Amino acid sequence: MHGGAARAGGRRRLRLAALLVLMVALPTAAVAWLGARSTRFERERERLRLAEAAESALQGMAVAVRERLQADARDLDLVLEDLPAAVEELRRIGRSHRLIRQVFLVGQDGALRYPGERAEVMSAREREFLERTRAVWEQGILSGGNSAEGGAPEGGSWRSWVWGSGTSFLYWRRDGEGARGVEVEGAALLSDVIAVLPDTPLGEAGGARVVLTGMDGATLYQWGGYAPAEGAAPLAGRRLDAPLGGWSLSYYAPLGGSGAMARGSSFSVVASVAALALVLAGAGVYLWRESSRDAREALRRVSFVNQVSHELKTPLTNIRLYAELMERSLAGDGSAADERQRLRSKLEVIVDESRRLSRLVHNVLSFARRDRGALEVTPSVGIVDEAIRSLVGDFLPSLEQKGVAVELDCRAPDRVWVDSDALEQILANLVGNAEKYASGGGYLGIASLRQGETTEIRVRDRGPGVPPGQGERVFEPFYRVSNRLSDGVAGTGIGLTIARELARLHGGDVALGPGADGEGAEFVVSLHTPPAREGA
Amino acid sequence: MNERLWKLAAACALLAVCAGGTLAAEAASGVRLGVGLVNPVVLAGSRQRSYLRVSLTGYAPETAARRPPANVAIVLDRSGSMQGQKIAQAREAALVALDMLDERDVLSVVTYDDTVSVLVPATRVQDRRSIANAIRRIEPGGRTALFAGVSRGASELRKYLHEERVNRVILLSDGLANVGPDSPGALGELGASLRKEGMAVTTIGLGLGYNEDLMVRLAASSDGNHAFVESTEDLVRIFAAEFRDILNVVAREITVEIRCRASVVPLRVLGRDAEVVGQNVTLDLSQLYGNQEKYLLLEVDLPAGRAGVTLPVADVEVRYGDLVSRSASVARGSVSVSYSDSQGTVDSRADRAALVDVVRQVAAETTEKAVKLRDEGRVDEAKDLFQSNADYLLSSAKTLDAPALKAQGGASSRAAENLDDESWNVERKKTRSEQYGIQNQQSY
Repeated sequence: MHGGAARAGGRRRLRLAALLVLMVALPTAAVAWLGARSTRFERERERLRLAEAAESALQGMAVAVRERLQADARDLDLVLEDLPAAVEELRRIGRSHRLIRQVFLVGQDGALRYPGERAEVMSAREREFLERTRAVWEQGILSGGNSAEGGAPEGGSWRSWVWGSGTSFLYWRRDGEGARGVEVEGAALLSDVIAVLPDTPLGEAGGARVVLTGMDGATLYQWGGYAPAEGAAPLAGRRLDAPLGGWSLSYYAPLGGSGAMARGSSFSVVASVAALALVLAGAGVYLWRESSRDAREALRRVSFVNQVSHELKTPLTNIRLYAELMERSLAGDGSAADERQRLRSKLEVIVDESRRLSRLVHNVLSFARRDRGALEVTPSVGIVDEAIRSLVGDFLPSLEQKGVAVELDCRAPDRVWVDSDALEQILANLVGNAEKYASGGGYLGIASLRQGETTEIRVRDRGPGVPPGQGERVFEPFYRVSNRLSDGVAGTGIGLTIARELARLHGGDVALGPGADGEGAEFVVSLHTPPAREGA
Repeated sequence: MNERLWKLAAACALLAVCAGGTLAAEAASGVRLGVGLVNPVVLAGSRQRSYLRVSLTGYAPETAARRPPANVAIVLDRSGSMQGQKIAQAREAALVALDMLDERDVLSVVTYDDTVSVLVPATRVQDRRSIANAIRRIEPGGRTALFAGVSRGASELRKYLHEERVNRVILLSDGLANVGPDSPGALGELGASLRKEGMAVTTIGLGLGYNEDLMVRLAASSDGNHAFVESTEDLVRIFAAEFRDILNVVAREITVEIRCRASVVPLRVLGRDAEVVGQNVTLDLSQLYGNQEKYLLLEVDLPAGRAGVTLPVADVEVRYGDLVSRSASVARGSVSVSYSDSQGTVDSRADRAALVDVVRQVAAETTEKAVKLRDEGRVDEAKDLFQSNADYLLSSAKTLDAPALKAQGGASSRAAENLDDESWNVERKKTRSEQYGIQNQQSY
């Protein structure tokens, strides 16, 4: 029976535990998920905002580069307009103009006139030029040779291709005889582009980075203090305008705006989730403890029932045993005097045990009434000391048998209003406890004193005493300092509960006293006992 | 009668003084041109080979106050490898250079690692303290965007670019370019373009981690100086030497044109990048320094002649911007050759000093070949070539009584001994910087 109830109780506890965990976890998870979503949304919004800003920044840069290229093209136009006729002068241009590597002239048929293979003498530079540009002439520069970039700046046309480790550029205009143009110094062009792009002030950390990449994907130039991770994706990208269409700008920035803002919003989400989890966990813990307390009380109730059964069994067994022994004695022979002595001692035991039984039953009934809130106290005129002596008298045989010396100090002989039954029940519990637990000390002292309308009774023993910290707990129902049946100590744990309840109903209290000599326990009963007038 | 004689004498004297004075004044500025054949007399009867030597020496201005103002951009590498002593010495060197300039000059400082920072935009050297403070703030960081650094230095120079100024970019780097264009070819193109604008780039390689081909190419194509600084303690001294050169420029944008007469065939110019087209040879130089001589040697194939005959060989015209007189100037000269039947005459009339220069340049070209062999892994062939080059130099040193050749021979032997993998890195940097110095007639 006990095991089944325990198992049922255990399953219930498990269910409760599971429920509580769910109660903490679910809302926390929900809030965390919502928080993460909102952070993600915010981050996405931020990213889009950044991307927009990045696009417009890149746009600005692309415009600056285009304008620079246009300025360079105008420079070249000036030269092309006024080309000298002599080959030597044309060579000089290649040696002195920073943007021009080589001048060339093309006929109507698309064939190179200068530098021409038919020329008598050719410088090494001209030969190298032909080598570099062979493919261009084979494809025909005049006929649709505008390649991907097309003719951008007014009039002049560009063409670019990859040669060696860089990009080569041609710029030309048509003229009456065909076309005239130049091979542009690629390094000078790149240098011009770098000159219109920003530099990076020292000590500028974080921020962003823009990278200019060439036709082959290699970095040509970069600026900005932020160093993107390997393989990170750019926030925005843009190809440059013709003729640099093979080059592109990429804008990198840490996601979620600057690191500080991202951290800030994550932090607030995490903090609120943590706070929520803490609160819920606190509630869960509280509920768990409450349920534990209830569970513990329930367990103690079960234990109490067990104890009661045990308590009832023992006296009953004794009563029955001694009654049977008496029967057998009566049946046997022996002298009348011996027989009477033996009978008397056995009767004493029976009477004692009966009293014990009735005390127990009295307690249980009182407890049941207390539970229902129906416990009451009805004072009548009586004498406190008389009740004390009567009660002690009941216990004397048992106390003597356990070697406990009783010392009385009665100073409340006056007639007062008192519920003697209640008082006896209170004292019975206290003395009973002393008898059960403190008989090893060999001493029991009871002192009474009436002062005004209050009577105080001290019950003192020299037993093990109440362990520190449990002074209040001993008055809790079912609470026993030692709960183990095997301890050999009987008791149900409700004695002090009843005693205190009754004393409080009587306008007083039962409390643990300081304990004389520091050893043993001392209980102090105080009752409200207004003196009774003479003749009442 | 006596009175008139005296007056005449006085007038003549006065005239003479004036003429002399004017001559003297003329002689004191600009460029002194010297032209001549290494062998002014050659053997008659068949075609002969010789070298035509054109020498240019700048006249130093009389007072330092008359020196042309400088426009300098210092481009400093602050990539991660510049940690510690290197960056400290670089800062120190820049500060020393700052001290050598004055209010006439313009200075800008650009630093680069992954990205480029214009630390000090081109400003006149008036507020030294703020420039010095900016220099002191330089700390090493990331990778090496060398092309971008030089480009930005050049754009700073452009702000004050002027034909009456000496415009120079000084690049200090200790590492390989790895952001942006990084090949000697690309940097060479940049250097060539900058030279056409009137800027020269001097490259200083610090330590053992830089690409000497790239640095030499950049210097060569822009006609700047190059130095290999193995130990950081030398950095300050090298910087100071470079700035002495900068403050000593007397002519810029020099064009040398050699027009050879008919039947004279110009073959090639030793050690310099010149354009040989038909009968004409053209060479550009960025600048000439006061009291420093730069020369070029043109190998020519002379026509056969009869003994006793003198033939004009070539006309030389040198156009340049005179920074002291602040005007465009021209210097002209002509070269002729005589023929003789006597080998003894030919030998005795040979220009010894010029011969020494020929040996130096030929040996320098051989060094270039030997380095190439070693690069290709043909270590033994390289060693033999270095050694035979050393022998050639040492024997020429004896016959021509030239200590400079002995030193160059010693360098070649040293190279022969250092071709193993451990030593080759340092040796290659030394060799390349020495070779360029010889071909460029660098002052330090």
